[in-house]
Amino acid sequence: MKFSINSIEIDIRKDNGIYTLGGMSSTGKSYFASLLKSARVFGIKACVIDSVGQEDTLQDSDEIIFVDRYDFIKSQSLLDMLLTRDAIILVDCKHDCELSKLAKNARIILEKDKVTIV
Amino acid sequence: MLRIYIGAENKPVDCVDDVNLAFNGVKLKDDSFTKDVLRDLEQAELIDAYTFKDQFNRGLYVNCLSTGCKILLESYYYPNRVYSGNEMGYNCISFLLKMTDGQLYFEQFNYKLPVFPMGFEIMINGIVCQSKFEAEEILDEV
Repeated sequence: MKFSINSIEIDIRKDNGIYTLGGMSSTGKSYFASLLKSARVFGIKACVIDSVGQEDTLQDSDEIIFVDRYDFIKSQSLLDMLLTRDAIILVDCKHDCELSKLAKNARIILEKDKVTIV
Repeated sequence: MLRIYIGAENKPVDCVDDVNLAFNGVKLKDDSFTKDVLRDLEQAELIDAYTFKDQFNRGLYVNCLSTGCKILLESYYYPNRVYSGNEMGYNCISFLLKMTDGQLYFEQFNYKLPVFPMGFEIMINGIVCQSKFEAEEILDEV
């Protein structure tokens, strides 16, 4: 899935499913989240969850869900909700947990005007 | 001495959990620890107390630093406070060994510790460790 937010190109090369983005800091995950937060303004069906209880803002039509800071906001209700969704679900999760056992791996590649998820 | 608390039963009651929110208003210091963390973790460069230059040479405000970077700087700048380290990536751990003070809480500690520099001490759940070996013995028991 490819789209752009302002002049930044976003290229997500994943099918629907749950993916964790690795255990490293400073790879650009929160930067990616900040871009995705404005996605709906441009008609892109994406949502970012980065605080407790924010899953209520999800829409049924969302095709991309990015969960930032999962180690901080994790809860059983959030996990249950994510498991029911048919979307590309990318999760910033740095530690072993129930979600990481179910998820596949993805990686973020940051360039000056492009973010690629592989 | 850097103090680490591991396990929910050892979590200090005053632990700062939302490290991003707590970072609001923090000013970057022009010191070697800050510069090392910015350079080696973020591939960034300090501009002033409020801004830094990222790996693409863009000037950004301090709130754009990664969460791992924020935790390291917060716990270094405010050693009397306990910060949650749960959002730190494994590439942050080597910087802990550059801290002579500070307090961090981890729900779980699945990181590999590097060899301790000469004279470095760390307190894990109230026990002082002077070597990687001693620390790993404690971590195995947690």
